[in-house]
Amino acid sequence: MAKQVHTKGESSIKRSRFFKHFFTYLFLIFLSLIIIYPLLITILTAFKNSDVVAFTLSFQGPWTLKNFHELFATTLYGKWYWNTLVISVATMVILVAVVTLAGYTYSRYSFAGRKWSLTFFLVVQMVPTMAALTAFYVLGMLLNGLDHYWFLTLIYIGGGIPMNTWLMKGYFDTVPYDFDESAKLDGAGNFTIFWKIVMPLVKPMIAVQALWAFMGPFGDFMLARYLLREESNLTVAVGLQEFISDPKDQQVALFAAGAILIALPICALFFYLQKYFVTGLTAGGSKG
Amino acid sequence: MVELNLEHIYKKYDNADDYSVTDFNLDIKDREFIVFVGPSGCGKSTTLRMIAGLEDITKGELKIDGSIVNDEAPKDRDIAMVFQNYALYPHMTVYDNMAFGLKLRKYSKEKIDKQVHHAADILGLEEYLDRKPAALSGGQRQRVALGRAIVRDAPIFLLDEPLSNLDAKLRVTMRAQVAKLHQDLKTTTIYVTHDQTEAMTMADRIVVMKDGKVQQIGTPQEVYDQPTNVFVGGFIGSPAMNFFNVTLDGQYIYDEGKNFNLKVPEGCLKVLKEKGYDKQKLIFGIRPEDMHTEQAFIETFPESQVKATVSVSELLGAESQLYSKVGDTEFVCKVDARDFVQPGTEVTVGVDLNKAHFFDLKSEESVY
Amino acid sequence: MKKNPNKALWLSFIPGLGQYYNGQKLKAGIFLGAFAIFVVEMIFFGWSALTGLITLGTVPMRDHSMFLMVKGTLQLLILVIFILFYVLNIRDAKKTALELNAGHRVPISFNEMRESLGTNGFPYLLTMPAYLLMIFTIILPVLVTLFMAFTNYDFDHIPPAQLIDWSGLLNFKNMFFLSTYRATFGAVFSWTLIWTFCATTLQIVLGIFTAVVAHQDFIKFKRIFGIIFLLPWAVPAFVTIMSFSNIFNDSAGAINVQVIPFLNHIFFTHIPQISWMTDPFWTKVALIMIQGWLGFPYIYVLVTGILQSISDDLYEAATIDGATAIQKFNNITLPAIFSVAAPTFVTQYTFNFNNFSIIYLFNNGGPGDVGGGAGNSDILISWIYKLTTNTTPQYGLASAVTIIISVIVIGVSLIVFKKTNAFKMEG
Repeated sequence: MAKQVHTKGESSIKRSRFFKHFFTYLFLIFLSLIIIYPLLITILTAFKNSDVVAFTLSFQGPWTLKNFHELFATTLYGKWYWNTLVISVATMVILVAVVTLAGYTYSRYSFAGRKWSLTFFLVVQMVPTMAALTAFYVLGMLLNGLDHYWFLTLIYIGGGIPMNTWLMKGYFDTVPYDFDESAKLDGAGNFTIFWKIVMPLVKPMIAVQALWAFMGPFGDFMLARYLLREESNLTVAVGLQEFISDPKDQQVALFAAGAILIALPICALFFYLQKYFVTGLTAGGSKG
Repeated sequence: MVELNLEHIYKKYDNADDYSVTDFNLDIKDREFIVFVGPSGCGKSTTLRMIAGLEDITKGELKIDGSIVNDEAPKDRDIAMVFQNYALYPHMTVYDNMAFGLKLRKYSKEKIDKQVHHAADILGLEEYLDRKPAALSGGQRQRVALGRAIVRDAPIFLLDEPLSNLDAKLRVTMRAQVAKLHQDLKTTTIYVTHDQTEAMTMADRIVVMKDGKVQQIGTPQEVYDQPTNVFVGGFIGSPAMNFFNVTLDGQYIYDEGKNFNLKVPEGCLKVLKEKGYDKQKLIFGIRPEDMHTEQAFIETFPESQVKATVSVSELLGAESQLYSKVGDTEFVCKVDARDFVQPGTEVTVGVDLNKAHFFDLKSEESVY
Repeated sequence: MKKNPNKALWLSFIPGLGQYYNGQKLKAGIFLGAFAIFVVEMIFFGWSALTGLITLGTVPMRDHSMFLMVKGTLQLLILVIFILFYVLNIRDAKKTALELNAGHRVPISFNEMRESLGTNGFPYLLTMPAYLLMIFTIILPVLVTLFMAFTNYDFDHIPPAQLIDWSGLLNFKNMFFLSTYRATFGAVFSWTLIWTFCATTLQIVLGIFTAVVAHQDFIKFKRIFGIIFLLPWAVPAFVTIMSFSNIFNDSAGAINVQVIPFLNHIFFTHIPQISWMTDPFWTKVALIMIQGWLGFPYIYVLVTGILQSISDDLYEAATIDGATAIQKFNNITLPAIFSVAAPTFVTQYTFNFNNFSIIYLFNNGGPGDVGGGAGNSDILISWIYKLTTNTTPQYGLASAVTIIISVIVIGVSLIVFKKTNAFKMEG
């Protein structure tokens, strides 16, 4: 009798465990399909003839590399790509340098106005600066910065400073002050402490910051579209949209090919740096 | 030769109202092993950090070999320090950790190599030189931290609670190792700890601190035998000294509820009376090991007995500790293992009044 | 040799004199020089710039109202910086006098000053580039936008041919009381709120749910799922949004051509093709779903990190106390997630509030028109873009909307951050 009850209980546990596993995997697989489906459509379309009309998942050929060839031969895609790279690299280098210095200062030094200016950073970071379109336009006109990359780059850099300084400060804070003091006694000066002791320890965060700074200009539409006028001066995001912006003449295959060439390197960088993200996220998250 | 003088040192942090360290005076002789001991927040670490140059000195003078170094940068004071959390640079190997200070001081490659290997040899770290700190055990990290200080060959050695992160057994081993290091290197050493056992076993002189003030400076024996006040008496020694509020009447002292009546020895009595404590209240202190339960002692001193009930008793192998209560006062006596009794037992305890300490009730300063 | 601190203070009402009195001749020279430069700048440029800001020009073609406004704003910033310097100069004189009296050494020679700057000024030196960049790329544009919101800058008033004038609260009045704009503002604003709430909540819920489900111990191929779930974050958003815009295409997109027929085939249903791009309701539904797709990985990664940091002891203790799975989730998991991630969640809401890319790239704010140049799926920020870029631009009105957005975003963030104690920072 007792034994029967026992087996009955066991089988109900087994059954509920089966349902748990079943629905868990069902959810995970379903979600995976939803994620992969649109990406796969784009990837496959890039290798289809340029006259495809439907933007759907289809494993039927013929397959071709013609789109990629056409992209560079007949459109300004190569130029746009180069423009974006120039802006992105400049933004990345300068932004990371500026933000690292500022974050380090806020983490390591106490000085008059520190607390006040940190709060200022936090508030400024919330201002949707890109909405100040007209102001940027007039400023650009006044400084002869319209259609020039330096102007756009400066805006990207400035906009990234407050938020990223906060993140950087939060990460610098995780490096114990003991290291600085120990190095001080070892005879290290301010610069040596910064360069030889603290910097090597925040490398991961700097890599993440660099990636984000690099991706920023790739993703921006509003400013790039408004402040860059010449067709040949566009960034790749704005240019790419031209392929599909006309509902009557959508070049989906060309678009797909162009999209892949952008997404691939960024994806690769992303996954390469992925393991540092959680640390950066939680450090930044808990510090605001 | 290196001497250190701390003269009327004060420390006040910017955002604090009170001084963290008040009027700290100490002359440290060459090759001396000084231990700062006190509860957390007593200012011992702050003082150490002021000596290192990691904190500004608010007031007073710090002299190394006679010259004032208040405004000198840490690196110019030629001081080596071991941090509580070791502060080993995680991105450098053990070798590089030890060599870092020497490289910054522009030593030649050969000399650095020689000194690092010498230090590693002393501490048994040779086989770990290529590892990074993360791959070391707690004890090994501790030794690297010591090694990093040793290679520098600095004349002054500061250690800030260096053993507090180790487990009990390792702590005893490392304690011996640090003591031996000092014997071999003969470096002037200042050691900060909250553990009175470390202070007692290692120090040439102990500085007991509380609330930013120096309570007593002396050899371990002095501090143990002649505590200057109730705090020092209670802080040094384990288990802590027992205290009773008593009244001196004639030749005797008795407690509030007259639960005991103890005869004070002649010499002591004379001093107390001269100081005007006759018919006055004072604090009577007696160490647990000066309270006896063996029959012979009790019979010899029939007028030094306390009857009490044991509430907790601990058998520690060679000895046992009886936590008892008389009136409202709890006390502990350390007796022979043979004299172990179960809780609840009523015991007669003989008090060795030749070892008694007396303190003023108000000021808590020692009066005998 | 006692100095009178008050005398030093009063003297430095002309910068430098107090320092001279304190014996810091070089510093006095520098301060006096800075003061002189400011006065000269004020006479030759500053004064006209400030009056220009007030008048916004008097003669068309000669005066460019917008340039005058930018220059005037810049001058205003210079003035503020000078006032800061002026106050610090006065405080410095008094402080130095007090220090001299207390017997401290103060830097006098060039070398001493350089040394003192090297230690005390180091933090300022390091943050200087950040401040300079922010002044020109954030503060100045935001101030100009703020001023612009109170002008009549629009397609009828394009400098330099026409002058722009201060119009007080007219733009705000129009937005709230002029029937056409009021309707537009109401429609756009309410959709912005719905959009922000639905899209963000969807991505947060989906992110937390996925993290919790994928965190279970028994799951095999965890790494593979982990990589797949990161893909929407790894692929640049603008690429996927544009892909989605194709996928949701009414006639040729995969959803209508492939997914719906497939579902009908499997479940024997008869769902008709949906007008994703032409029906406002379905465009909005699609937008919210796409943002959920795009935004959940970020939350998923964050929450997975938090889940890994929760000690198993807690769950085991709860199991022994007899807690059910749901009770454990509500009492252990959720509080842990929110205590760490709450500020991030708030930034997700404010991000979507201003998520221009998805609105613009998916359907260009369309379909249709709700007046004032805004489409049915336009949110405030994309409306601003349209007000600025269409053929009859309304710059002043756009600026007014920008101000309103900023006030909302900053206000909400500040309140929530204060509540969640994100301000709590050491020292």
